[in-house]
Amino acid sequence: MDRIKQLIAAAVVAAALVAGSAQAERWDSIQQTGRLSVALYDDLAPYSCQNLDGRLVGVDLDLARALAERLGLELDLVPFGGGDSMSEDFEMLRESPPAGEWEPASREVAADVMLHVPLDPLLSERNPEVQILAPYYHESMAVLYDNVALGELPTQITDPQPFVGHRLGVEMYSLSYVFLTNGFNGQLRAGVANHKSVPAAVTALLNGEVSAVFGTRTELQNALAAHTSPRPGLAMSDLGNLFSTNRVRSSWAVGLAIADGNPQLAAQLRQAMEQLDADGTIEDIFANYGIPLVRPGDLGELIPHADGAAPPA
Amino acid sequence: MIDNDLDDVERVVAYGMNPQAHRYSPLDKLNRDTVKHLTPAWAFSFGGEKQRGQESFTLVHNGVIYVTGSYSRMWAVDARTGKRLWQYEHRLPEGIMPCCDVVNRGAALYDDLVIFGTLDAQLVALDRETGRVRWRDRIADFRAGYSYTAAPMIANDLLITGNSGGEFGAIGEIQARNPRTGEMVWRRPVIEGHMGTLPDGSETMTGTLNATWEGEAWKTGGGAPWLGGTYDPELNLIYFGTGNPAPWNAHSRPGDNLYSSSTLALDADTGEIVWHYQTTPNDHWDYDGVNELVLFDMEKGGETIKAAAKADRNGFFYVLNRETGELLLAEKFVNHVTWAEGIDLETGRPIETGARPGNPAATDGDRGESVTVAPAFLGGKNWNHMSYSQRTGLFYIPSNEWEMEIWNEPVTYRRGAAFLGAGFTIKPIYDDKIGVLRAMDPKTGEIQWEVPNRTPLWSSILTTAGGLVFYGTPEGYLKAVDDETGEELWKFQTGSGVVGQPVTWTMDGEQYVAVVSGWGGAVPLWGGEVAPLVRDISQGGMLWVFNFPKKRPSVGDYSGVDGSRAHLSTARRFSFGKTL
Repeated sequence: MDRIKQLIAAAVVAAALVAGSAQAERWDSIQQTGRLSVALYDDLAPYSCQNLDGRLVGVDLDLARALAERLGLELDLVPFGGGDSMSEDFEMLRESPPAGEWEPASREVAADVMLHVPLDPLLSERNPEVQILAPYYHESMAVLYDNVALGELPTQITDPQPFVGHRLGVEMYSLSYVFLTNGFNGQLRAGVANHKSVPAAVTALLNGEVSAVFGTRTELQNALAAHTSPRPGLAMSDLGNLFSTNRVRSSWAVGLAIADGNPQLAAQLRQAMEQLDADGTIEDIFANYGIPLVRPGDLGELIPHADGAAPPA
Repeated sequence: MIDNDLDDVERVVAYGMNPQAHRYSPLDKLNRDTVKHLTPAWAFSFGGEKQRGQESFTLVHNGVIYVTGSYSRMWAVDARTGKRLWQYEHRLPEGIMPCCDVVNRGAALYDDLVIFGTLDAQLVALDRETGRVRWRDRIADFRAGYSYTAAPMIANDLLITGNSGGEFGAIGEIQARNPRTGEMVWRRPVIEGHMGTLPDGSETMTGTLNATWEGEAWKTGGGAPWLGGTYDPELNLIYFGTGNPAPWNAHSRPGDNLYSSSTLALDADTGEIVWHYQTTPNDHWDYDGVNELVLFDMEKGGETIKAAAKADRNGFFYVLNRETGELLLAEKFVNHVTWAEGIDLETGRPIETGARPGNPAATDGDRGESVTVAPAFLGGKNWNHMSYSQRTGLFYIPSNEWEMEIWNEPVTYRRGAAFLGAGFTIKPIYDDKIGVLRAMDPKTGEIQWEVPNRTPLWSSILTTAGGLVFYGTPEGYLKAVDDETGEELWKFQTGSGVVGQPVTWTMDGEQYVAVVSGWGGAVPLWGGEVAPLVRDISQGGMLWVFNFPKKRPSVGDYSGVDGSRAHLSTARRFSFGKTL
C-alpha cells in the first residue's frame, strides 16, 4: 500500500514539475491571444446554469462578460460540472498531464480564471496550486420562513427550538439537509422535506407545504424573486452559527481563483473587479437576479429583513 | 415460450443458465482432461468508438447468439460463424446518470422477441429475426436519476425488471410486464411507505409507514434492485436483492430502513412481498444488498432443504430457507470483515463492532474521525455472479479482499458553497492479491480452496459437469480451473479485461464456450488506491467463442503424455462422489 502511495506521490510531483516548467506568466499569453477563458459551473442556479435553449445564463456569466470587457478581452466560456469537492474543480485551472483512458479527457488549455470560489484559509491551504482572490460578494446560510406559522424570529437565529415540529424544506443532501437531519440531537429530523432544488423548496413554502426553507441567502432571495407576487408573511433570518461545527462556517466570501504564480494576472483581475464594484456593475448584475449585493466587507448588514420580500429593483 | 427449454444444452435461454442462477452446465465433453485443447472458433468485435465495460451474459438460441454491449447496444450473431445478423444501437439522450460505467448485463428471450433495458431506463423489445423494435416502455425517468443495466428476467410468464439509480432520491422498484406488449401487470417499490400496484389495479403499501424510517426520509430512500432476480417456478416466488439506502450518511436516517440492503421474496402473481431478509440494517458502508440469491436444494441430515445462498457485499455468505426466509447459516467468505463480528443465527441480525463513521454535524477538527472498515464498499463480492455446481455441491465465489477508509470532512466546499462531506477511499489489504476465487461448502461455510488474483475479480463464474470452473480476470484471461482443487488447467488472453459472464452450450455435437471481453465497470471509476493497479488495461469490446479445433487430435492424445493424471483424476472423482 505504501508503495502505491509513493508511486502516486511521485507521479503528482512529476506532473507538477512538468506543468511548472512549461508555465510562463499567464497574463502574457492572455494578451497575446486577446482572449480570457473563464471556468464556470454548468449547473449552479442562479449563478451559472443552462436555460431552456441550453445557453449558459446567470450572475457569474454576466460577471464574466463584464470582466472580459473591462480587460479588453474576448471571453471564452468553460462550463464544467462540479465535483464532490472543490479541490477537484481546481483541475480546471491546470493543464492536465496526458490522462489515462479512465480519466476525464485532458484539456488542451487550462482556464485562466474560475468564478465562485470561497475564500477560506483551509481551502487555500489544501490547494496551494491555486490563488483565491478578489472577493465579489458575501454568502451566508439563511432561513426563509412563514412568520404566521413560526411567529416572528430574531434576525440572527441561534436556537433550533422554533423549528421543532414543523416541516422544513431543504435542497436534497445540501449542507442544510445534513445539519437538520444529523444535528440538534435529531429534534428536527422528522420534519425535514427533501426537494430537488432551493427554488422547488421555496415554491413548497409559498404553497404552504413547508413552514421554512433553509439554504444560502442568495439562493433563497433569487428563488423568491422568481415569484411575481410573493405571499405576505414571509421573513428571512440569518443562521449565524446555528449551522456550524468548530470548522464549518455559516458564512464566507466568494471570489475568483487562478493558478498560483501569476502575479500580473492577479493584479489585473483585482483591479478590474475593483472597478466593476466601484461603478456599480456588480451590484446591478446581482440585482437583476433579485439579490441585494452584500459586499465581502459589509458584514454588519448581512440579512435585510425580508418581510414580503419584494426584491429591490 | 422459452421457459420449457431450460434443460436443453443446445440453448442458453436464461440469464444465469437457469432461473435458479446456478451458472452450471451438465455438459462434460469439455472436462479436466480435454479443456487444454479449447481454442477460439471465432471472435466478434462490437466495433465503433464505444468501448468501456462489457459485462453481458450471452444468450444462444437456434444457432444465434444474442449479446448486449456497453452504451445500450445489442447484436445477433451467427453462433457457427460469428457473422453479424443485425445490430441495435439505442439512441441515448444527454444527461444519463449511470453510477458505475455504461454497462449492460444482457437480454431476455420470449417467443420471437429479445428484450433488454437501456441506460436511459427504457425497455426495448426487438424482433429476434430482424432486430426491429416491436415495443418500448419506460421503466422510470432517467432525468430523475434512474438508469438500467441488468438483464430482464422471464418468470411466471412475465417480464421482470428492477431499476438502477442511487442518487437524487431514486426509489428502488420491481416491475412485471406482459412480455408480448410491455403492458405493466404489477409494480412493487421496495422502500416502506411507497404504494405498489397489483394486477387488478388496486394499490397496497410496501411495509408499514415510518416503522423503520423517521419522518419523510423514506421518500428518497434509495434501495434500487439494480442487478436482477432469480425465480422458483414451484414456489412461484421471485427473489431480488435491494440496494443501499439513501443518503449514504446513516445519521440522517436512524432505523433499519427496510427494505434496503435486503433480499426480498415476492409473490410472482401479485408482486407482494412474502418475506424479507435484511443483510445490513441501517447501512452506513454502502453495502448494497443487490447480490443474487442462488436457489439450490441442500441435503442435510437426510432431509432436502429448499435453500438459497447469497454472497453479500458485506462479506458474509448467507444460506436461507427460500420458502420462509429463515437464516440457516452465515459465514465470512473473505478473510477481512471488520464491521461485524458475525451474524446472530437466532435473530438474523449482525453483531456490529461499532466501526461506523461519525456524525458529520458533531465533528471537530480538520478531518474528523476516520474509520477503516472491511470489506470496502465495492464489496466482498460485487455484481459478478457466483456459480453453484450441481456436481460438487459447492459455490464458487469471485471474491475480493479490500478495505476502505471513511472520514467526515468538516470543511468541504462543493460548487462554491460550504458542504459537510464524507471522504472515502478503497485500499488493498494484501500486497499480492485483491481477487480470490473461492470454493465454499454451503453446509459448513468452509472454504475448500482458493485461487488468488492480483487485481479484483469482476467476472461471473461458470461451472460444468466436466469438473471445470470458468472465470475471467481484468488481466485479460478467460481461465478454467479444476472444481476440486482450483488447479489452473487452461487460459486464454482475450486482449482486454474480462468482466463478462462465461456460458457454454453444444452445437453440431460440439461443446462451445463464450465470453465477452472489455475492461470496465466500477473498479476503474471508484477503485481509490486500487485504480492505479488497473490503469493500464486496454479497453475493448469483443465476443470470444471457443470450441475444440476442427482438426482435432486423436482421442488417444487427450490422455497422451499424462495418461496417469487422467487415471488419477477419475479416481479422485469417484472418491469425491462418496464424500458428498
